[in-house]
Amino acid sequence: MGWAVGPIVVAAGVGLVLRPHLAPADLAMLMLLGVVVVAARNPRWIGVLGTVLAIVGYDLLFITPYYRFSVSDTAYLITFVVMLIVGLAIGHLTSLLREAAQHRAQRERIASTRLVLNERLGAVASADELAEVTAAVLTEATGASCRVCWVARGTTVEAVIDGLGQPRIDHGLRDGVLAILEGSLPHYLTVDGWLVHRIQEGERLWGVVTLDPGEPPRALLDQVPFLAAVLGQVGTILERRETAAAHEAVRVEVEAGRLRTALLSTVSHDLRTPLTTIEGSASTLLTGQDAIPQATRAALLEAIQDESRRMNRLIGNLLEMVRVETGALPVRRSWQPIEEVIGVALLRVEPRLAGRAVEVDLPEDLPLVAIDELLMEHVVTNILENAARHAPGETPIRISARATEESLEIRVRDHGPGLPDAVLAAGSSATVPRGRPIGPGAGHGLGLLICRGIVSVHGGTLTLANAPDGGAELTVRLPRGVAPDGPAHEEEVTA
Amino acid sequence: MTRNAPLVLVVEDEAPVRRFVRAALEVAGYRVVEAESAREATAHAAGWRPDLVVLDLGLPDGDGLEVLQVLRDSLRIPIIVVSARGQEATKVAALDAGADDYLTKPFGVPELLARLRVAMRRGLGVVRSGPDAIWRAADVTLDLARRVVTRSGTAVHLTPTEFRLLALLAQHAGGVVTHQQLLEEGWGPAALEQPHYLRVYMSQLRRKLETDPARPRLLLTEPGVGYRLVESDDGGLTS
Repeated sequence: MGWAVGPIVVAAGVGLVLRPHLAPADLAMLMLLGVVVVAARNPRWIGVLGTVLAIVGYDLLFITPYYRFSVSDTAYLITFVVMLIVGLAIGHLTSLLREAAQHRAQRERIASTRLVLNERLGAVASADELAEVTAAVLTEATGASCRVCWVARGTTVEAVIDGLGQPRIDHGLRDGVLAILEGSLPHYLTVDGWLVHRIQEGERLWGVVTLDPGEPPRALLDQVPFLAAVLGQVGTILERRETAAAHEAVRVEVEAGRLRTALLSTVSHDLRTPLTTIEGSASTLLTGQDAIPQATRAALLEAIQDESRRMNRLIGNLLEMVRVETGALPVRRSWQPIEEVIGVALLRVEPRLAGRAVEVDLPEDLPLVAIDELLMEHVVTNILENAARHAPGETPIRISARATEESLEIRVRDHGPGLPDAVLAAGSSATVPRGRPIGPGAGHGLGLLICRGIVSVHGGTLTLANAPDGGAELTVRLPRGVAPDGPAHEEEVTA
Repeated sequence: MTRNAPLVLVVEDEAPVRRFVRAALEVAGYRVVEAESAREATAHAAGWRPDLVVLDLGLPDGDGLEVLQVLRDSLRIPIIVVSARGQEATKVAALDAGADDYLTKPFGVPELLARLRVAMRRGLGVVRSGPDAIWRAADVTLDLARRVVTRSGTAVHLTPTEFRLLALLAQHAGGVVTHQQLLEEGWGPAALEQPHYLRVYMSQLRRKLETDPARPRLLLTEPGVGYRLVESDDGGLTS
């Protein structure tokens, strides 16, 4: 404080030296300069003190008679008053400026802490991590060790104290936490130097933060405005996360609903189409009896058989999908040559190939691969059927397999119109094109969806593409893994 | 329908299925007796003494496998089990418990009749499954007694294990042989832990016997169950 009024002392000293050469008004200005400097650089009360000191000093040192008060001094009353007013005004103005600067610094600190919170809290997923990161950011910003515990409806005091993990927490703090949980206190309280603050946004209490006064204890109350502002932001972030999670849940639900609807319409469409043919053919045969020519009769009967098989395939697809999607039935993988699965699939689709040429290109040295043969057969059958259905009848289908270092690739290529863009686009995700029926009867969707599911259960991928010169090309890649040793070599003995 | 026509017991709870099976079998010259429950099946089996049983494993009043055991123990006749796709484990269990063959629902009549024909031949002792029998299909001939396999008249060289596997399949020609049965035949009981041995050997056999190994016509795969060598051209094995 002594130093704070130094400028006045200096002004007085300078005035003493120059007193013989200067008029009292000049000396008053000199003292006023000291007042201005003191008031500008110090808290307001020091400014006032300095002003009073300057007036007294001026009266004693520069007004005759020197070194004592006298009645004639009243002639300088205006000078005194002006000095006082100037001192007070300057002090007031500078303190306003100083407060504004402090506010700005505080705002900047709040803003940057909010920014850090936004950034770092956005990157974490779990509630525990959120608490940890929040505490770390607050510790960094306040310099006091902070702990954070989230509060939900029904959270007990014990859980909070446990969550805060404070070994030094005592009964006072416990009561404080209880009061905060009950909402019967303002946003914060101090207990034994500890600061306990609500994390609140609007009406909702999100959690509690404690600030450790540390050793030696330091005052934490000046952190309250900062905390209030920053913790509101934490509440906002939490609220936003919760809203986003709720939206995501709704979106997933809607998407699942859409898939269900699409499936349902596909299934009902695909089941009804063959049923229509079956019922129509059967009733025609029943009502027409002998009036129906032999050839027509045979055609109708054949239609009944074909459509029944088609229904069977669709039901098979649905069952496999349920099996893969729900994990209801186990996937039984065993090591075997892919050639065998392809052979079975080719045999199965033979009736639908109707004599179409199928080129099979399988190197003899293909490695064994660990697969569920029933499921993989389903995949190959589906893909071959897809090709047979979409490519013109006279064009060949080619199925080939080759081994790379990591995987075994099975490729089916047709010379049809290729896959529609919607299917190619949907190929990159597990979703189904919206709005229109999907499935073996209507398009590619359901069958390919199931293929993708089965292949991914095997740790592989299904790639859909159109060849540059037309036609669809579907590639199944299965991980090779480490095949077991084969049986010991044997010499051929039979003649 | 003659009194000598073989009698088939059809155990199936769905009346429409029984109806078409009966129709198909009667046209093919069999006599049919129907049972719609496990209880009825055992009763009819004892009362009618059928020559063959077609048994749906999915009966409402009992475990199909238990019915199979009862029938197996009381009658020494062929049993063909019927089950849905996706229940390969049940089929294998039934085959290993003594069923002769299986059908997957839905099945066509030609398939049903083929299974019955093969099973009947074996059941009636028409088939010579002894070591002196010969199996012949397409251009391949297998002489079990002389241990000679030829394809288009040219000798095919087989390893001892390949021959054992082929012989077992030939003895059941037209019928299915499970993985387990083949593994035990080829490598003994210990090989059950090495199911890929069988796959490798079947692949080798196909390369030696099939015109197009990737599209087999003789050695068929029964996914999840086993293998089936097609019927010999002249029906059963002949001497």
